[in-house]
Amino acid sequence: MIWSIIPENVIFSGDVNGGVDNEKLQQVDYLGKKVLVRLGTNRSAQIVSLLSTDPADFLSPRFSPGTQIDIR
Amino acid sequence: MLIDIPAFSNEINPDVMPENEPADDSQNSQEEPADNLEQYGELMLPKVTSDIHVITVIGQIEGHLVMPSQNKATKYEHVIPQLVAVEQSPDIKGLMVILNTVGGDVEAGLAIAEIIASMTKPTVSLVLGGGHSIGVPIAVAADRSFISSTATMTIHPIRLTGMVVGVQQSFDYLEKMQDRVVNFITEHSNISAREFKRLMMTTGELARDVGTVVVGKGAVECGLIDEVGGLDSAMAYLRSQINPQDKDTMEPGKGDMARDLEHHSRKRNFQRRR
Repeated sequence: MIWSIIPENVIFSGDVNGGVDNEKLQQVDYLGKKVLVRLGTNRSAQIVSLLSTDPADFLSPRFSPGTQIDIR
Repeated sequence: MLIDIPAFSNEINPDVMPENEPADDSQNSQEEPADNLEQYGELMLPKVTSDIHVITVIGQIEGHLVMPSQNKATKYEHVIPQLVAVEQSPDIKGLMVILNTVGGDVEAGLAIAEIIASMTKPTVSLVLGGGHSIGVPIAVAADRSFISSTATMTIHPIRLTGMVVGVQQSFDYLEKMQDRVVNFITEHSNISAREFKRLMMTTGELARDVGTVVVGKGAVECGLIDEVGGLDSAMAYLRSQINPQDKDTMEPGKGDMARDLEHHSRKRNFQRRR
């Protein structure tokens, strides 16, 4: 049940199953932290967001959104 | 090399010091602080350890349904393990929850709110921008809640959409769902159920809905939120709870400490009784 100020027809106006964008997003462990990445080609990925509660992690340029990383 | 930082080593275990691990170690295994300066235009940041952790609740609160990609969402499967980790870690002394949410899944929101309310570590919430609908129970779940003077909170009724079987049970279920939220909010804040429901059913405030938008000070006056404030007052409260002997260092006008402590213990006593 959704309780939101955004009308449900707006919330669900897109592809309910996430759309193409969401399909390529993946949560991976990177340098010991969890990051949400957009998968690219050939094991590369771009950081979309860092999932951490430690504010110090957000100071590190390693985790800034947009950074290209190599995942194996 | 422009600057010599002897503490930096190329043989750092990435699990121990992740900040010093190069982004792409196949190419940058010999990276040094000067390279960092070249690549990012800044020096290697000093290792900062924070004993206060932050959880941001942004956009929709996503629960059982995956939101379509145009929604910015806070996923409960991300937040709940983080909250458990914060509770368990001996290095973390306090939690700050920063809200700017439009609402979302009722059960996911209540789950996050309940887990924050049942934490033993000091918690504080700060509503910035907006803390609407199911963001309200998350805001009041912390030991002390703050709202910035320009932030808003929308209180409106829960409703069922889509195909609904038009029987008494559907309406009873809806009422039960709403009571779960109202009970949580009234138990964790100073607003009465009667007043909250009055705000929820007010007409003439919202263009397409019944309900009320409370702004900053209004949220405090109706008893929903404890105090109008920003990061400074929220952080000062957390620090005072982590190190009670430091309370004298708090700036005057940033909250009455005696009231804070009484409020805190009242909430704790309530949680113990539950």
